[in-house]
Amino acid sequence: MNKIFVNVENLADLLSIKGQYGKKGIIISGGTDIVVRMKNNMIDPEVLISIKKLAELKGIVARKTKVIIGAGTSLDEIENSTLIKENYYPLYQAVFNMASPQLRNMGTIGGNIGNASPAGDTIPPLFLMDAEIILYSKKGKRSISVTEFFKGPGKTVMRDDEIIHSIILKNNYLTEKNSGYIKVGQRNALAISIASVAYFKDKKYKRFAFGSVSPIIHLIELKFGLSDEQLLKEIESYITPIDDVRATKEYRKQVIINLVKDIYF
Amino acid sequence: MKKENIKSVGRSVKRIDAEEKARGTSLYVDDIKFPGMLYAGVFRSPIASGTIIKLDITKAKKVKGIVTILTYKDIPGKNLVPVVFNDQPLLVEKEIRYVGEPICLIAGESKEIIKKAISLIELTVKERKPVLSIKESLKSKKAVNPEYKDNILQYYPIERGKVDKIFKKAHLIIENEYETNYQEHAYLETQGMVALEEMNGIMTLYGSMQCPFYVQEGVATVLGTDYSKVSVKLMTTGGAFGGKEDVPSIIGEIAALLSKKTKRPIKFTLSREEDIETMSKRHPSYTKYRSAFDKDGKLVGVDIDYYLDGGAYSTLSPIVLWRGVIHAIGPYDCGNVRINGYAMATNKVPSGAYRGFGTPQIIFAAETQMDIAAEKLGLDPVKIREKNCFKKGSITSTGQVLKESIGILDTIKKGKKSFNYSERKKNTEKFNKKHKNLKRGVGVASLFYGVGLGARGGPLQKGSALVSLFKDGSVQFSVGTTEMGQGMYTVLSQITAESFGISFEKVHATRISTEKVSDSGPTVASRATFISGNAIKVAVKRLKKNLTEFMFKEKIINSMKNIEFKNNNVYKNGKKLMSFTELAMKAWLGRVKMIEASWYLPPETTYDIKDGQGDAYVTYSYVTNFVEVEIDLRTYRTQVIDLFSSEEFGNVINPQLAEGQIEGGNVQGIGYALFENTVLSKGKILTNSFSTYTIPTILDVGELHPVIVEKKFKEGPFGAKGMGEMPLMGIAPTIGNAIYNAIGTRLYKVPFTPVEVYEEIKDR
Repeated sequence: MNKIFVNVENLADLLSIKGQYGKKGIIISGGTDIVVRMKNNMIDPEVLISIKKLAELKGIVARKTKVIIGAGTSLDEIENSTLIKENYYPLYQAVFNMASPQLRNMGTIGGNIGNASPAGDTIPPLFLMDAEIILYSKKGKRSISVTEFFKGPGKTVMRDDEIIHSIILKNNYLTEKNSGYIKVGQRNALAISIASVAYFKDKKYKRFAFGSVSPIIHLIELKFGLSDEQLLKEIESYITPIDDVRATKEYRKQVIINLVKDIYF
Repeated sequence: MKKENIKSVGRSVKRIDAEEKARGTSLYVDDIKFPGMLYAGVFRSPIASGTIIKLDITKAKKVKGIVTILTYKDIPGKNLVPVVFNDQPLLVEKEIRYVGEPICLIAGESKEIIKKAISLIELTVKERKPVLSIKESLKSKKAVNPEYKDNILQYYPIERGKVDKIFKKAHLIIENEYETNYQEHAYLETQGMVALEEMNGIMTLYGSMQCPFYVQEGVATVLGTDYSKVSVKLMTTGGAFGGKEDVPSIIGEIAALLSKKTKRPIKFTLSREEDIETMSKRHPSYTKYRSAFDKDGKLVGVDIDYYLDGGAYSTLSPIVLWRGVIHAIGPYDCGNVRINGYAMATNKVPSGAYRGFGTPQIIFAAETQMDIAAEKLGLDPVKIREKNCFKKGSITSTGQVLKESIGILDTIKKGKKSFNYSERKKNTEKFNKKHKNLKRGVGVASLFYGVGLGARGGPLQKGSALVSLFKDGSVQFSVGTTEMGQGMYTVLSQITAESFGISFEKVHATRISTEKVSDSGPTVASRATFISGNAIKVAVKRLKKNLTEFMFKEKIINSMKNIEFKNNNVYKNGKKLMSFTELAMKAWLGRVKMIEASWYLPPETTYDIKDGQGDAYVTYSYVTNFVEVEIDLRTYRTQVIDLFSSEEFGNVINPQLAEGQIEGGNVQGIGYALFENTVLSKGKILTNSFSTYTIPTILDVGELHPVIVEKKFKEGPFGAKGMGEMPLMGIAPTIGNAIYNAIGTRLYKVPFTPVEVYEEIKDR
C-alpha cells in the first residue's frame, strides 16, 4: 500500500487536506507520540499530514486577560515563556517535568492534548485555567471548554475533519505561590505520570485536577473547612485508577489522597 | 636537560577511546554494511510451555524479499548453544520451554520484510501449564526440561563447623525470607553480530560480546565445522555487564547459519524490545536466611537456603549459583556455616551472568540480617561490621585463610570518615523532627568479592597476550579479554607502557580477535586487568630479555645484570645506554625476535564440591557503602542524597577509570534497589522497553562519592586485583537499611519501588 506524507504550509491547505482524508489523515508535528506508535505497530496511518512548517499554529500570544497558545507550539517554547511561568505556573511546571529536553523540543501542546492520554501532563493544568480548545475545519471554527473536550482515553469530541488550532488560557493569576503541578512518575525525569495533581488555592476555595487516575480528567472545586472525611468523600469519586505495569490502583489512589491532603490542610 | 620520569600506572590517563566515543565515530555492529548484506530475524514461541503440533512456513517463504527460512532441521551441525551443561538447543525441535524461544530463522532484504514474513508463519501448539516461579518450580512434579529428573539445575552446599549446635545456644537468632526480582543489563547497544564467509571460506563474525571464544565454539558447533574455520572479531561494544557473556553465541550462531545458507553477509541486531524479552538477565531469587550471634555481637552461625530462578535452561546458572553461595555470608569470619544453594528451572527466558553474578541477591539478605542484628544487640551498624569483618588470618566460609591485601576494615573506616557518619546521622534526626512528610535515613553495607573465575572456572582460568615491538620503538598488543566500555584497552596500555618503561602514547591496543591470541576465557568476574595485565607482563618480560641478550651479543653490555628499561631509555647500572627507540631499531636490524605470545595462569584454587571447602578464589576485593536517602511519605518515593562507596581492589592502575567504574556500578545498584521492576504475565515480559522498565537517570542517583582504598596485592599486575562488579553488588541492602533508618520499615523484597514501600507501610 502506498503511504502519503503531506507537508502543509498554510492553514487553508491543512483544513482542505484534513477535510479530504478525514479519519485516515493523521496530523503529525513533532511525532513524539505518532512515530513511537508507528514503530510499535500500534497505528499504521495511510496519510500523514505534517504541520511542522505551519507558522500560523505556533507561538504564545497575550490578549488582555487571556493567553493564546498555538497548537503547534513546542513544549520547550512553553517551558521558556515568562508569560506562562508568571501567570500560569502549573502549566510551566507540567511542561518542565515532561520527558527530556530532546522530546520537549519536538513535542507540541496540541499533540499532547490531541493524544488525549489521561497521563498527558499539559492537560490537568488547563482545567485550572478554564481553558478553551479552538478547533478548525473547512466548515469553520468552534471553541470547546477543556472540561467538555475529552471523552475517554484517546477520545475527544473532535470530528474527523477538524484540527486543533489553539488553546486559550484564562485565569491569569496562577502563580508559584498559589498553584502548582505535582507529578509522580517512576523516576525524576523521562517518566510517564503515574499520578499527578494540578492545584490552585484561593481565599474562598481550592481547585484540583488529577492526572493518570481516571479515564477523563475532572475539575474539582473544594470549599474551605472540610474535615478529613469530608475531603476524602469529595475527591474519592474522581479517583478511579487502573493497575498497570507502572503501579497499582491502590497506590495511585493513596498518592492522590496524600497530595491533596497536604495541599488542602 | 629536563628530568623525565615516565609513569603510566597510577595515573588518570585519558581513555584511548574517549574522543571517538564523544564524537560518535566509534564503529558498532550496526554501523557495518557489506555489499549484498541481508538482515536476520527470528520467529519465536508465543507461549511458555507446550509441544509443537504443526509449523507452516509456506506463506512466509513466498513474501517478496525473503531469501530463506530455517528450522532446526536445516542446522548442518549440532542444534546447540554450548555453555556449561549443553542442554539448550538453538531452535525448538518439538518442546517449547519459554516465551520467545527461537523456532525459525529468517533472512530477508529488510527488517520490515522479515517482520511481515514472521506474521505469516503458522504455528499450532499444544499448551502445557508453565512453571513460572521458584516456588512453583520446587512444587512441580514434572521437570521443566524433560532431560532432567527434577527442576534443580544445580545444587551447591557449604557445610562448616557445628551449625545445629550453635543455633541451639546462640544469644540471638534472626530468621527472615528475602526475594529479589530480575534485573536487565540495559546496555546502550543491544545484542548484534554480522556474519560472512571471508577469504578461504572462513566464517567471520563481527560482534558485540564478552567472549569471542564462546562465539567461535557456538558457530563451529552449529555449522559442524572446524573451530579454526571460524573467526570472531570484536566491534566497539556498547556495554555488556554480563549480558554479553554467553548469549552472543546465540546471536552469532543465528547470523552464521543464515550466512552459510544464503552465501551472503548477514546482519542480526535486536530491537530493545526483543532484547529485553529474549536475552539473559539477573536471576530472581528467594532466600531463607538464619543468623546466630553471641551476646557480644559476634556472628557465630549462619544457615541459608538460597534459590535462584534459572529459567528454562541451565546456561550459566551453575556458576552464578556457585559464586552466590561462596559470598553468602559476607566478609565475615564465622566458624559455623551451612548453605544450600539451588538453581531452579522455570518456563522463563534463561537467566544468566550480570555484574555481581549471583551475589547481589544474597548480599541483600546478608547485609539486611546484619543490620537487624545490630539493632537487636544495641550495636551501631558500623560497629557490628567492624567487629565481624575479615582481618589478617581470618577464615572464609569455605575455610580459606586470608593472608594478604585484606582491605575490608579500611573501607569501613575510610568510608565512615568520608561520609561523616556520626554527624550525618544526627543531622537526619534533626531533619526528621522538622519535616512531616520527608524522612531521611542513613544506611551501611559491606561486601567482599572473589576476583577472577575461581575454582569453578576450571579450564577457563588462563589468559594470553600478543605483544609486538616495532622498529620505531612503538608497541602493539592484543589480548583475549574484551573491551566493552569498562576501559580495558586503556588500563592494559598503561600496564604495557609501564612494563617497558616507555610513554603511554607509544603503546597501541588492537582489535580483540580469535585470530590473534588463544582462548583466554570470558571477560567476566572482574578479571581482565588481572589476567590480561599479567599475560602482558609475561610477554613484555620476554621481549626485554630478547633485547638484553641482543645487547650482550653485540657487546653493547658486558653482562646482562642490572639492566633497566625506564623513561623511554635503557640503563645499565643506572647509566643510560641509549633510547628505547634506538634499541628497537638496532634490534630490528639485528633480526631480534620482536613479537611474543604469552600465557598466564593464576595461582591454583581448590574446592571440594561435597562440603564446599577450599581456597575458592585467588584473592578478594572489598567494599563498604554508606548512603543517605530521603523518603517522601506522600508518594512513597525514595531519593538517594549521597552515596559513598568505599572500595579496596589492590593498587589502582587508573584512578579516574576506577572512579568511573564505581559510579557506574553504583547507579546500576541504585536502579536494582529502587527502580528496575520486571513485570511478567504468563511468562511473557511486559516491561519490554525503557518506558516501562525504568533505569535511573542522573537526576535519580543523588551525589556519588567514590572512595578508594589501596592495598597492594603481590600477584596482581602492579599490585592490582579486580573491581568491575563490586560497585553494584551491595547497593540494595545499603539503601534498604537507610530506608529502615528513615521510616522504621524493613523491606525484604527488591526492588523497593514506591508501590512496595506503600504496601509495607499502609497498615502500620
